[in-house]
Amino acid sequence: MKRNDFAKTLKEHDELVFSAPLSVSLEITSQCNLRCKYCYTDAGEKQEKELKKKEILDLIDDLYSIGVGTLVFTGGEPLCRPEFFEIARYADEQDFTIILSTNGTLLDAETALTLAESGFKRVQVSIEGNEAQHDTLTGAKGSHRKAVRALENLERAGITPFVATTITALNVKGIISLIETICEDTPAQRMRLLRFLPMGRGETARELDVSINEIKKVYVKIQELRKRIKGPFEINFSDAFNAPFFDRPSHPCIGGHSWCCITPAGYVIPCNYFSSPDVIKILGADSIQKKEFITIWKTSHLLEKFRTPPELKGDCNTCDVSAECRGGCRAVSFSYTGTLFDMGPLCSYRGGT
Amino acid sequence: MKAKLRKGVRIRPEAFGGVVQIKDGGAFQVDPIGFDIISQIKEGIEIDHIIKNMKEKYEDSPKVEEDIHKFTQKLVEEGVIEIEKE
Repeated sequence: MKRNDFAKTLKEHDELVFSAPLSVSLEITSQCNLRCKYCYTDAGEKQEKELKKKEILDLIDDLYSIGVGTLVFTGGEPLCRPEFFEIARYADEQDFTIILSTNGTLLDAETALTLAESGFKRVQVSIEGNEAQHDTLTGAKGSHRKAVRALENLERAGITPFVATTITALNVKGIISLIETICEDTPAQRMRLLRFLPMGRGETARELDVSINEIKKVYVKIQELRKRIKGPFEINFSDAFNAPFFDRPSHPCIGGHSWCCITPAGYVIPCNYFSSPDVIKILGADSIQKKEFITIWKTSHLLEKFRTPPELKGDCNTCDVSAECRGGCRAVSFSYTGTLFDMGPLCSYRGGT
Repeated sequence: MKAKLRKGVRIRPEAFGGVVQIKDGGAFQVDPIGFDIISQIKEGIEIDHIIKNMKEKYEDSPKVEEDIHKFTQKLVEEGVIEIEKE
């Protein structure tokens, strides 16, 4: 017998392709009560072919039977869907880890308690800057106040609140101050920084784009901030920033390997960033309204593109770390260059100066 | 000594061994030997019997017993299994 401890954390990503995803991001509606300028999926109105409740419950059965462990409910705004709690409870009863990603504006004290009763232990709320910045980006006056209150409501209900913030031109200068405020003045336990991409509604808000040089400056300041922060508060960057430059071992995109997203109309895509209907048309995704999920997982040409070592283009083709990151975030590449395999100057390792 | 999977723990086989997922916890990747051990625990086989099985399947070395005890201890610490009281 080989002497070892037989177990490794998945963070090591030794094995990339799994027989089924470990985690699925389930966009249960495209409805949203906000119209955030940076929204990569152009959420707002309900889509015509949105999965019906029965289809979602059947899907949850399917995902359970193939061993998926975590469901992340997102949208749109999941709380806009009237059957949301019924669907969430159904998943919780099947022993899924369930997580909610919300804009927080509909999350009052009573809703927080219902979330706790439905099995949620962790909820992520979007906060996009100080009050003025947040309300400008969401287009809804008072949305910042409601989002902050949502964090407090969640804590009182016994749920661990997290914060997600998309770095944009509007908030980048105040991002350190925002993190300090979230850490010191709210019960949030973690802050996740997301990358703005000109996709969905974001395509018409390119003025919000942030250069890689500015992001690098933020990164350096966050390294300093981490030393000052007391307690268990975590700050991390989404995989869209993935590159050895940042503070963890580089790994390839996990989309289509251990994780995927299912859109409101049932399309199986490697990552939420591709969930805009226009993008789905270009990429050619399969829907669970036509095929079983596991068949799509095993045969989808789109997912396969994310699994096979890509034919990298441009700078990625000659980069010294491309074997590790395999070209980084496909969504960044796609949204700026129109190809999935060329990060070009947008890479946080080689891009910028 | 008998152990059992804790409530909310799910395991599934993979080409590289298997995956252990803990509800509201983390996930672990285990190699084929580790997955074999966890599968036997799930079936309700006593630890001493698992050691015997593993010695037969692989090699009869004193390290086998030590390794399995260390592994099961780690599984207890990670919240994957619990030791049943006699």
